[in-house]
Amino acid sequence: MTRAHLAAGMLLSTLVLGTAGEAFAQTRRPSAGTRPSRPSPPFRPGSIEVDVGVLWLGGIDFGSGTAAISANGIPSADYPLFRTASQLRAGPAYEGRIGVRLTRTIGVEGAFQYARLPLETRISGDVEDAPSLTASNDLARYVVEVSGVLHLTRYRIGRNGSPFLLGGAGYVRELDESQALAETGGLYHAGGGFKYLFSERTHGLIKGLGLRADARIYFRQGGFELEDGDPLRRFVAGGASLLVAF
Amino acid sequence: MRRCRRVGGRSVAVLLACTVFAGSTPAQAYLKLGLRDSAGSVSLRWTAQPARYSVTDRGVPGVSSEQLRQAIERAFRTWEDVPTASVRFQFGGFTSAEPLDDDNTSTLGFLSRPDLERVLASTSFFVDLRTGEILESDVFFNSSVPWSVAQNGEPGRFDLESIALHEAGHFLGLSHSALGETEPRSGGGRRVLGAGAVMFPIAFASGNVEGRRLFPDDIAGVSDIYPDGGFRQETGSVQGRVTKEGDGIFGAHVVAYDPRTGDLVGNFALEETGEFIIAGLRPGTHVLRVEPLDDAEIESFFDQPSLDVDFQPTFYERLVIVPRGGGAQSIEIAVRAR
Repeated sequence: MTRAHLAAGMLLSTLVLGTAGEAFAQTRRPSAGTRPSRPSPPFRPGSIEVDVGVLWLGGIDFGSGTAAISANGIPSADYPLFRTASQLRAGPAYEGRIGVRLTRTIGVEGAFQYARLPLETRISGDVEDAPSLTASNDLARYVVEVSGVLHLTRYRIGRNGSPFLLGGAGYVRELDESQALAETGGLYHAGGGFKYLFSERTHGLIKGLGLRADARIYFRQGGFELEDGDPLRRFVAGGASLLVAF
Repeated sequence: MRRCRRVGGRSVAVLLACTVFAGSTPAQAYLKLGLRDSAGSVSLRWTAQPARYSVTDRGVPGVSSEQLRQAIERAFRTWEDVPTASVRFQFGGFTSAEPLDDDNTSTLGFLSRPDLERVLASTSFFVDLRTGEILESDVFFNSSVPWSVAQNGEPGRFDLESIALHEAGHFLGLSHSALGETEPRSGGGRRVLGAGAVMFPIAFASGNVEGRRLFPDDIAGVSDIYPDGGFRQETGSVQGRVTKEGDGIFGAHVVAYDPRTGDLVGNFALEETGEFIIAGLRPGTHVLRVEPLDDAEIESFFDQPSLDVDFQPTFYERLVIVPRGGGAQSIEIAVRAR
């Protein structure tokens, strides 16, 4: 890039940011020590919110097992061949959410998540001393979920932040790296976080820009499973996203 | 034991024999009996069912002919009860014929073979060489060893139903499984430490009745020969190669372990290129392990005197995902010399 091109690029950036700064310069701030009697524009009933961000998904421990045959004894017992311990490793997920305020405090959200997580099994203790190793396969995980959101508008975090609680359910579809097998299941979640608006405006399509951060606990049933009986699996998630209110 | 003769007007048939030993071989997996010629290979199977059989009218000390019939019937019923396989047997009555008579009748019964001191029982076949159809199958139980039909087993006596279940597997066309572990005996032969298949060639110790039930490896094997109940649609397979320094290893024993169920199902690399297929696996995650057939009597599995057993037991470095109704392919398990 030449110096002239670089200068032009900087100028363009400045103009765009300058416009944004002008558009969002009209943020209405409540006076100190008072509680707003009406919701600010981005929190009106009927307002729409879009979030795009990154979530860190906690891992799932699938437990350990022993590959065994029947020992030649009376009564018969297990004759172990080797041991395994399996887990779905923690990793990042990409998430998009869209929500609608039904009332000043209650909203609903729909979300889509994508993650690629390593499924690993540690193999050890072989009866014939086969070298121990960790075998793996990457899973692509797709999640669609719906959440109910309770905005705790009576509480404030800083000047423009407010906490919320959420809970809901979803559908998970996991696909191995060779796309040979898809396993599906249900997801249930509960959690809380906060939203912080760093820009608000009363006019135009975009009514606010901000950040959202939340932590959730998930319960999963189904999907790739390495223990019999489809046990309910628990994992945690936490993340941050960019918030755009319309 | 192998010879050719005419049977029932069919052009050519062959007599094969499978034997279960009272302490002699080891390893892991189901294997179908088959015949190979220049035109390809065929698996042995009954095409006409129910497979009709007779039972000899002679008992041995501790086991009457009626108790023999009942033990055989229970063993056959255990195979019939496999939900993913379609096999049926029919008792045709008692007979005074010997089990190895060439009489177009499948006969099961006691036969005194003191010369075969470590052989508990043996199954032989007459088959159509072109199609693999089993025409006749006889089973003899060596009356030179002590037998029992006691419900909970009897110390010092071999459980007749357990051995009948193994021979019934041969009767259906299954060969030996290598899913087991043994150790050498001081007086020769091998002692079984554990087995993961009824079709393992060495019996449990006398008094043990653990061999009255089928294992996942046995169920996968019989379902592969006589598929039923959505077996092909609801299970999957893994396919790949076992190599050492780039060359295939014939006879390498590959086992698939399902961590979810604990099932172990195996097979062998049956081509010189080292290719193997294990069918009848539950869809989902599996661990693959390959080992040499180094502590077995190779003749219990293959019609050749030697195999490459100079390699280290090895796990495949990837978790294998078995699809439903399909196969996981392109797997290469590279092993190293010991």
